[in-house]
Amino acid sequence: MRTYEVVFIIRPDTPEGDIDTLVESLQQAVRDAGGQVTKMDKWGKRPLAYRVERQREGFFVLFEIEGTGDSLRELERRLKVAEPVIKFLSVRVDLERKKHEKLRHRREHQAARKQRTAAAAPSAEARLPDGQAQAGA
Amino acid sequence: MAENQGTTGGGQTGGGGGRPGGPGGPGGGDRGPRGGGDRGGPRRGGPGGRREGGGGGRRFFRRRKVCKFCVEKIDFIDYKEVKLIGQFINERGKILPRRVTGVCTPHQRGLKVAVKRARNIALLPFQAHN
Repeated sequence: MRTYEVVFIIRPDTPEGDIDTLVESLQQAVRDAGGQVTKMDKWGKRPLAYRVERQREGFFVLFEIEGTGDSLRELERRLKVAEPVIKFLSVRVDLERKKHEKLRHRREHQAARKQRTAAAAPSAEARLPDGQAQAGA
Repeated sequence: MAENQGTTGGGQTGGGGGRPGGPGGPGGGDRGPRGGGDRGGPRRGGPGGRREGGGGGRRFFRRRKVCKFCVEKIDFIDYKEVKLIGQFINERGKILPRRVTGVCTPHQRGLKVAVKRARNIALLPFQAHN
């Protein structure tokens, strides 16, 4: 099961009711394809950095999805077809997040270890980036 | 370009890219003659020329700017945080180089990805004029 983040933009002039219906149907599509919508966030209208379909602002919605590649593919297909959706972007985030978790754990371990060894002398061990260097390489 | 500058903290000696002889240059390589090493990227003159041989090393590398992400211990550079990402693009919308922003290499890479994603979802411009 992979985790994805999908942001999509709906034409700003669509009525609120339609937006809700659309969002709901997309969520259902994900569920039908075997996935789960773990997070749904409506950002509302925002200005766009450039004109998309001759619009200068759009209604942004974010989904976070736990699902298979197929479920994502299905969602993307629907997004492509849906008339009010003018742009979308999906990103896979599970691997990245795992990696960052590891980095964070390692950093905490190292910080904890340093605190223990520096227990005698109160040295400033607050922000030592050398842990970064090792992990990053 | 990235590797050398990483160890020296982002020095201005662009010419040091492919050179053997390490930082500080070979003995005779001070006061870099123009023709001496025209490899590597654009060279910012920097005070005293690119190469102060023998101990001078690189001084004044722009206040030793530290990587903002390293300091705040941010691992994941999120394309959705436009306010954060937007600090690293210029008025034309281009991504600023590391030597200007002081970002470290791995974070610069993450920044690059984030900016490009943000551009694709119209949170940042591809090209901003005036």
